[in-house]
Amino acid sequence: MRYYNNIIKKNFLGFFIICFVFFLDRSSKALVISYYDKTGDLYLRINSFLNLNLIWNEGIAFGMFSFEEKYYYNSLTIFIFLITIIIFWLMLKSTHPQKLGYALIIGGSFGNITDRLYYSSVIDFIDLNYKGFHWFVFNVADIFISLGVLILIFLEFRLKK
Amino acid sequence: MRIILFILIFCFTISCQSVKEGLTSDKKKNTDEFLVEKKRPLVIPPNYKDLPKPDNNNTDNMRNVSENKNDENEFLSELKKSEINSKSGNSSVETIILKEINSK
Repeated sequence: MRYYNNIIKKNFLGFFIICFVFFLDRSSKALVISYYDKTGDLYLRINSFLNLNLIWNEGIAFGMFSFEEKYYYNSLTIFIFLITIIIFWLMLKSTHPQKLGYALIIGGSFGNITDRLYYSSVIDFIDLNYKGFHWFVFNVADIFISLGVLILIFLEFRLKK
Repeated sequence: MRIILFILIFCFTISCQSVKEGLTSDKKKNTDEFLVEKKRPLVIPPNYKDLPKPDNNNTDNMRNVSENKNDENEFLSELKKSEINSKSGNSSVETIILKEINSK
């Protein structure tokens, strides 16, 4: 019991970040879905750089591994879940600045996994564009995952120096 | 080495998609509906030998044809009669045809 209490104390900030990212992602997706249910379509032009455009992603990053067959899709979901568990284990073992990066990735990853389990695809809706060039459509979880990976890469370079 | 691991983690946990792919994915799913089936090789049906002989059917068909011809002749004779009657001023061809239709 003391061992678990110790883990919770050491990783309290990490757990808080995971929950914060997860709930922020879920609430943003819930808002988008409620709007979509009301209107039947989602294409909102916020400004010249940002649109809200609901897209269902059945694959992973950049639309890769988009499977139509349920078996492959479920296998991919299990694989992503295992990766997230490994990242969680790495977070528990890591030092404090790295914990932040791992926690951001885990929170975002759990947000996307929830979509995969509930909707069988991930909700992407943030569409950044400039003069007709569209960047990949992403969601709030993706922002935090990218931020977490950037923090980890930055810390890795700093540690080498 | 660790950076490669982080990039792999990034690729698997993130979920972004291009607008084009996202909008065309529904169409991709439906392509099977419009898929043209290739010509299959000709195969003799397994019960090919059990099929009835053509002679039996022919006689039945001939009977049907002869019956139809008789009906036609009867109708034509009726029509001629009606024409004769119409000339004599009893009734028009139309009324005769209507009577025929109503009787059937």
